Parts: sequence; structure tokens; C-alpha cells
Amino acid sequence: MPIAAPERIWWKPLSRAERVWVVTGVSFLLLLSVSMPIWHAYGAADNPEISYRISPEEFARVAQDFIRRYQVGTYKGIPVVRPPAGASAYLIAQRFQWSPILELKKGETYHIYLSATDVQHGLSLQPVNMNFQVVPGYASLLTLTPTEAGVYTILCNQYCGVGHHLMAGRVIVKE
Amino acid sequence: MASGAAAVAIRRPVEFESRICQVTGLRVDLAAERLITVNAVTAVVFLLIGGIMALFVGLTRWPAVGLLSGNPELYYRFLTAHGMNMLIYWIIFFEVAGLYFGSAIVLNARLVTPKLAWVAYALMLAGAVLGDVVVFSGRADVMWDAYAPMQAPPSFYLSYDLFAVGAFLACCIFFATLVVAKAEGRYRGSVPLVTFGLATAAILAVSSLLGGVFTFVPALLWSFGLMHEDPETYRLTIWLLGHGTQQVNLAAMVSVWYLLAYMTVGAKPLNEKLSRFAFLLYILTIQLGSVHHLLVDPGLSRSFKYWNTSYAMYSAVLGSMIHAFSIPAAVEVAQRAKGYTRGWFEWLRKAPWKEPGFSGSALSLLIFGFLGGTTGVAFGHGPVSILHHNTLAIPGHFHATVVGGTTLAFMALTYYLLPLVVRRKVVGWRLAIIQPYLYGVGVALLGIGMMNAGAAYGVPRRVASIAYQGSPVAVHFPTGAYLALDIAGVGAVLALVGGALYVGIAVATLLWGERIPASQQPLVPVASSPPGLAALGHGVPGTVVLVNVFLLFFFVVVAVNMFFLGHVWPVH
Ligand code: HEM
Ligand SMILES: [Cu+2]
Ligand SMILES: [Cu+2]
Repeated sequence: MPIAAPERIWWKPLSRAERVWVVTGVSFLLLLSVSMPIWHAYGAADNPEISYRISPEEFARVAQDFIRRYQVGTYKGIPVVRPPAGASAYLIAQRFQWSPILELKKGETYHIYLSATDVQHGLSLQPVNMNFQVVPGYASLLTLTPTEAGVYTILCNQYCGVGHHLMAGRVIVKE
Repeated sequence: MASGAAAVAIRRPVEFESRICQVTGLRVDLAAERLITVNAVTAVVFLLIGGIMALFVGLTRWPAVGLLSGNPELYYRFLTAHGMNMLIYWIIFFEVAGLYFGSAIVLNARLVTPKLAWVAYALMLAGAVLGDVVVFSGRADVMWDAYAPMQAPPSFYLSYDLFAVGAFLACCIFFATLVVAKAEGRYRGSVPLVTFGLATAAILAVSSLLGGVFTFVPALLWSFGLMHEDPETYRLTIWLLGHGTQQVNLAAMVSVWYLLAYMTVGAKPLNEKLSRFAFLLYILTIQLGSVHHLLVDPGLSRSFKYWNTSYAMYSAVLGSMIHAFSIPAAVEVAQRAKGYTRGWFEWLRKAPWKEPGFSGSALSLLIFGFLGGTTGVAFGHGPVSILHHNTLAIPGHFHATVVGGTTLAFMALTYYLLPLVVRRKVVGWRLAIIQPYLYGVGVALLGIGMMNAGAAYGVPRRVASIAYQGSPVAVHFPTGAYLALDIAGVGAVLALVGGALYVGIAVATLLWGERIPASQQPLVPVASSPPGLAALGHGVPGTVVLVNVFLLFFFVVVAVNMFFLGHVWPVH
């Protein structure tokens, strides 16, 4: 009875079925555990490893420098920026807008520094479906390689205030 | 209770006002009984508030209805209230009732310091009321987790601090009751399994509350402008609390499964050592494994993230997998002993499916295991988190765990607490029979729909609308996303009806339920003689089939996730 004290000696060997199940469970979970380093070694997409502490003001300053340097246009007031292939790029999350619109080249690898200047946000790249947390005071470095040309949406998926459901931006990938 | 020699008291037992339960033979401390009733009733009141919020939330996230899509401010306010009233107030008040039940009542003992237990209750209530006042008055549209640097007024953090101190006191009273019961010789040997499981929950609660202290005391000072707040530190500590409390819910739910399996079919734990070891795994490892919330965050190293999810989280998952075997196995053994021995599954077919205590805990186990557990492990797998972080898949997952799992188990238990503790005949028993099905199926659809919308289409969580009207760039979700949200919407309606039925039955029983005279047996069919371990000689073929189906499903869920992860852009 689970609501009565157990028999005086309850330290008993497991039955065969129980032993088999425990061993099966342990093996399955060990497999899952080793799949992480294995994925890290051979898989293409993994959690970003590198991040920096940076004050929101400092981040805004370097990001604006970057935007001025490589800006190629404007879309509805948002700067459109084309960094050289393989270069560093910056993406700012700020209530309730992503800036700039990055124009990337398919197959090239970019170092994208991502941070927020006010509250936390969430970067959600769709329809590729990749999601990253954006935290003010920290810049995450995403070493990213777009593999298909197209126009992509970036949504905010971390509640950031009353305009949270309007916070959408673009990433453009060219052949 | 235990046969043989009388228990040894090392301390002169203190007399207390009590009655003897006609059904279980337990000696019921009347002071504990009152506290259990009041805490549980308070829980149901908050469930009602959270449920009214769920109506707005569920119907706003169903784009076909979009109830509050035109009033986002109110949506975010109500979503904040939904999270707080459900996840914190409903669940924890009910758990405190469970702790008093699992200590004083189950051990035939007295609850020590009932006065202090009332203080604990008053603190929790003050915290909850303050929290609701601050949120509903529109001063804290910040979501329950209020990620810094988004700031709420000091009263918001204070409400959490008050509630936490009350909950901490309740845990202390639970531990003190165990110690005093032992000293006064109320029970012999080891504590019963249900008490052991609840003790696991209480230990985890204390360690989680430490995370709460690290979060909300600095946050309170910060809101007064007395301290600096680092947003990533805030995330780390709030998830010590947030993740830890989910494991409290897990341990409490599993204890309820063991309890109800006994009360409804007379199932007895087959191997106390194994079941207790599984609980021990929760205590030893689960608290560390809270970083799966932060897998795509800056500021933490990857090796720390992976160590944390693999070692710490998976050891706890092993604990759950053990319970997932030993509970159905205990039911199978008990049923076979009653003569339901044909084939693999006669025992399951002939189970008391019309007994809400049984159907509720069986559905709770299925929803938790298949929908909540497997997805939790998959989403918390280091790199896979990229696919789901902050999408609607996350609330989809935890509605399968804490709503389909814990809440449904607590509902099922209520149908027993009412006659046994409140001593009133359940009003509307016919409705009680269908309630777990309505609620369970509803929550399952809600979870499946949300997980599908989030995982396959990236629909974000916590948005008042997915139309993006008025945003600088146009956003269009494919039809599939809307279909998934339709499924979730239908599920939400069913779950809301099921939830309303539950609250209705509970309140009607409290107010108008026929009092059950002490001499009369309540409507609870407690099995007469639990079968012995010898029955295990026949094995548990049905359970073995079930757990292997589960393992296969588990594998598929993980494999599908890895497949999708193989198709996103390379990133590291
Ligand atoms: C019975 C009907 C219920 C329905 C229809 C429902 C519906 C929902 C939906 C659709 C969301 C996601 C909203 C969004 O992200 O925009 C949500 C969030 C949530 N629900 Fe429920 N829910 C129900 C019951 C519960 C229960 C019983 C609990 C807890 C025990 C619960 C806890 C939560 C929490 C913690 C959140 C997250 C809030 C946040 O993002 O801050 N829900 N609910
Ligand atoms: Cu945002
Ligand atoms: Cu946002």
C-alpha cells in the first residue's frame, strides 16, 4: 500500500522485467547524451557558443557604425544593409523593430552580432525556423550560413511589451 | 497499519483532536483536515480565476476567434494573470493541501503547529491577492516571469516574496510533522511511498524557493533602485525556481498516481526500492538541470549547457521512466489478481474507466508521458532548442505536463478528497465520470495544436495576434499554421468546458453536497485486499508492451526533431 509503511525490509532485488526496463532506459538516455557532442562534431547547426558582454549603448554605437558603412537602401524607414561576404554584421532588437534589414549572399558565412538595447527579445527566423534569445548587455555571435535564396521574416518571440506582436523584420538572401 | 509489535515512541505522544476514517482506517487530525480543506478550496478559487483568463487566452490564440487580438494590452495583462494564477497559485495551494495530507493524515499523526500553518496560509494568500491586484490593475503587464530589465513595480516582486515565504513555511511544517510523527511513534519503519514522494516534492520545493530568493529579493531591491540587475543572471536564477517548481509538480503528480492507483484498483508498489530510487533521482539531479531553458542564450558556455541537460536532466528523466513502468505494472498485477488474466490487455480493458480517480490518473499519465515527457526531452536536447525556443511549441509542451499531467491528476484526486476529507458526497457524479475525458482530450488537442503550430511553422508564443497588421513588413503564416491553431482552439474549448465542470462539481459539493455520516462508507471503492508480490510470477506482459510502444514513440519524437535540425541553416 502506498499509504502504509512498507514491509520492514523493502530492499528487495528487482524482477527481470524491471531490470530490463531500467537498463533499456539508461541506454536510451546515454544515447541521447552522447548525441549532443556527436551532433556538435558533425551536425551543421548548433547553439551559438560565443557571446560578449557589451553595454546597450556601446552595442548601439558599433551597430550604427556598421549600418552607415554598408547601407544600400531603406525600406519603410528601416536601413537595408549589405555586408561583404564573410564580414561581421550587427542586428539590433529594440521595441518594436529589428534593424537593419540584412542582405546576405547565399552560401557565404557571416558573423552576426545580436543584441538588444532595451529589454529582452527573441530572434525567430522564419520559415527556416531558427530561434535565439536576445539579451541586452550581451551580444550573441551567430556564425550563420544562409543556404537558400529568398526573403525571410524575423519575428520577435520573447514578450517585450505591448507592441510585441508587431515586431517583425526581414533578412534577404541573394543568389 | 504495519503489523507486529507496536511502534516505539521516543517522545511522549501529544494528544490531538481526531476522528477515525471509516474507509482507510486512518486517524484524521481535525486541525489538519481543516487546513487541507481551506488550502484546497483556495486552490480551486485560483483555478477559477486562471480558468477565466484561459478562456480569453485560448480564444485569442485561436485566430478564427481572436477574442482580444484587437486589445493587445488586455491580452498581455490576462496572459500574465493566467500564468500566475494557474502555474503558481492553483498548483501550489493544492500542493500544500497535499503535503498536510501526506504527512499528518497518512502517518496517523498530528500536524505540528497548526497555528503556524495558518500563518503560512495567510502569507501565501496575501502574496496571491497582492499579485492579482497589481496585475489586474494594469501595473505589471510583464508576464509571470517578468524578465529583467523589463520592470514591474515593487509590489509585484513583493507579492512573490510573500508567497514564497508562506510556501517555505508550509514545507517546514511538513518536515516537522514527519519528524514528530516518528518521535511520537505514529508509524514504524520507513514512511509510506506517497509520503516519500511528497517529501521529494517538498525538498525540491525548498531548493527551488532558494532560486526564488536569488531572483525576487534582488529584483525587489532593483525595483526600488537600490541594486543593479543583470538580465542573464536573472534568467539563470528564475529558472532555478521555474524549473525546480515544475519538478515539484512532477513529484507531487507521481505521488498522486501511486495513491490513486491504490485507491481505485488496489495497486500496490511492486518494488519499493525501485520506486524510491526513482524519486531519489529527482532529488539528486533535477535541480541542476534547469539550463534547458537557456540553451540559445548568450553568457553560458556550450559545454555547461550540454553537461547540464544530459547529465542532470536525463538522470531525472530516468526516474520518470521508472515510474512510467512501475505504476502500470502495479495496476496490471492488481487487476490480474482479480482474475482479469486473458491476453495482454484484459486487465486494462476491465479497469474502472468510469471511476474519475482512475480515468483521470490514467489520462494524466498518458498525456504527461507521451505528449509532455517526450517533447520535453526532445526540446531540451542541446541543439534542438534552436527549433523551439519561445515558439508556441513551448506552451504546447507544458500544457501537456502541468495541465494534462499535474492538473488532471489533482482533479482526479479531488473526487476522493471530497468524500474522505471534506466528507461530502460528490454532487453530479455522472458529470464527474465524463469530466476527466473532456478535460484530458481537450488539453491533449490544445497541446498537440500548439506544438504543431510552433514546431512546424514557428508561430511565436505570447502574441495577441499573428496577423502582423501594422508592422513594417508583411508576415503570412501558411494554412497549416492556421489549421494547427484551429486544433488548439477546439482543444481549448473542450478543456475549458472540462475545467468548468470540475470547478462546478467541487463548489457544488462543498456547498450542497450531502454530509456523509461518520459511520457510513463514502462512495469510494477501495480495493479490499491488495495482491501480493507473488502475482508478479505471471509477469506484466501488458505493461511491457505499453512501455515499449512508449519507447518507440519517444525515439521517433527525438528522431523527427533531429531530422528538422538537419535542415536549418548552418550556425554555431
Ligand atoms: C483549461 C484551459 C487552458 C487553456 C485553454 C489554456 C491556454 C493557454 C494558451 C493558448 C497559452 C499560450 C498563450 C500565448 O503564449 O500567447 C497559455 C499559456 C500558459 N498557460 Fe494555459 N491554458 C489552460 C490551462 C492552464 C493551466 C491549468 C495551467 C497551469 C497549471 C496553465 C498554465 C499556463 C502558463 C504558465 C502559460 C504561460 C504564460 C506565459 O507565457 O507567460 N494553463 N495557456
Ligand atoms: Cu521584441
Ligand atoms: Cu517581443
